[in-house]
Amino acid sequence: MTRRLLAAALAAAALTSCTETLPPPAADIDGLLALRSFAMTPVSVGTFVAIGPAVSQDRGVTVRTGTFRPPGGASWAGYLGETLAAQLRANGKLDPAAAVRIDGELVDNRRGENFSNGRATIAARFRVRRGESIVYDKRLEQQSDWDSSYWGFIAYDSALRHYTALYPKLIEQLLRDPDFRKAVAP
Amino acid sequence: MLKQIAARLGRVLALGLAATMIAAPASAAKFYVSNQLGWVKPEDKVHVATPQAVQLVIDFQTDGVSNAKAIKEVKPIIIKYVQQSTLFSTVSDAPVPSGALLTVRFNNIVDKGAAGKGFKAGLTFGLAATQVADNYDVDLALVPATGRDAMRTSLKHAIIMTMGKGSDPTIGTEFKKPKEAVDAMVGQSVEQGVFALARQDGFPGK
Repeated sequence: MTRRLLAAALAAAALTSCTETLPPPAADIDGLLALRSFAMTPVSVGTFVAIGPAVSQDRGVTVRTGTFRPPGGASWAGYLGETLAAQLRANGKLDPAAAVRIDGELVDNRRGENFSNGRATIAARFRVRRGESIVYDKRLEQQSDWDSSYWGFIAYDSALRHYTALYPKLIEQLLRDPDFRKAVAP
Repeated sequence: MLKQIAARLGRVLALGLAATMIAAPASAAKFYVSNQLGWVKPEDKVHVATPQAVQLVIDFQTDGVSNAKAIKEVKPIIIKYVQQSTLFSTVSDAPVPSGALLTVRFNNIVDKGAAGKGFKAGLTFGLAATQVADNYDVDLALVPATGRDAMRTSLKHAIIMTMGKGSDPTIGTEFKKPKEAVDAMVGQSVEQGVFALARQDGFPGK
C-alpha cells in the first residue's frame, strides 16, 4: 500500500507543477543585434502598465495546476519594461537621465492551451517622448502557437517558454520598426 | 538549464519509477554525454598573444523558442568555460569599448516521446529498456569589433538518458548526475566553439 501511495505521489509530481517566479529578463541576442544595427540616442525607460482587458491577466499564468509569475512580484507590463531595459543596458543605451523616454501600455495579454495545442498573444502600445512631445505612438503585437501535450509538465513547460518568449520578440519588433528608429535617432 | 534538464529528465524518471514501484524495483537511470565532441586537445588550443575584452550574450532555446529560465541557469556555466579558454581578457554583460560581441546560442531539440518512454520503461519493470536523447544545436558568433562582420561556427552535441539498461560506454561518457552531464555538454560545446573561432583569421588579439 505504501509503495502504491508513493508511486501515486511520484506520478502526481511528474504530472503537475507548482508556483514559480521567473528570473529577471536578460538581453536577447536578436534584439541586441537589432539595436547594434542603427544609431540611437540614449533613452530612459518610463512606466509600463496594463490597461483594459490586460489588467486582469497581469500577475501570473496558470497552466493545468502550475503557475508562473514575473519576477519580484512585478506585473507582466513591468516585465515588458524590464525586457526593454535589459536590451538597452546591454547596448549601453539606457540612461535614466536621458531626455528621450519610452513608455508602454500592455493592452492585450491572452493565453490558453488544451491537450493538443496552445496559443498566446500580447500587444503593447509604445510611446517615445522627447521632452513634452510624443514622437512615436504605435501598437505592436506578437502571437505564438504551439503543440501542447497530455502530460501536464510538458504542457506547462511549453506554455511557459512560448509565452515568455513573446516579450523579447515584441521588444525586437519595436527595435526593428523604422518609425521607432527615426524617433530615437541621435 | 541544469534545473530544467534535470527536472525534465527527473520527471521522465519519476514516471518510470512511479510505474515501476507499483509492482517491481526501480530501473536505474544513467546519464551520458555523447563522445562526438569531447574536450579540445592541448595541442589544438590556439594561443592569443593579446587577449581582448568581449561582451557575452547567450540564448538557450528549446525547439527554437527562447527559454528564460534556462538562460539564467546555463549562463554561469558558459561564462566559466569562456573564461577558462583564456582567449579573452575579460568577459562581461556590458558592452566593451571595441564593440567585440560573443553570442552563444544553444537550441535543445527535444525527444517528443520522452515522457511516454519513461512511463513504458517503468511499467515493464525496465524490460522495455528506453533511451532518451537531448540533442543540441550550438551556434557561436563573434563580432571582433564594431562594424566588423561576425565570425561564426556551429556544432552539435547530445545528452542521453537511459533506463532499464546497464552501463554502455558506446553511448557516451557516463555521469552520475544529470547536472554533471549538463556541465560537460555545455563546457565541451563552448570550448570547441570558441577555439574554432580563434582558429579563424581576424580573431581579436591573435
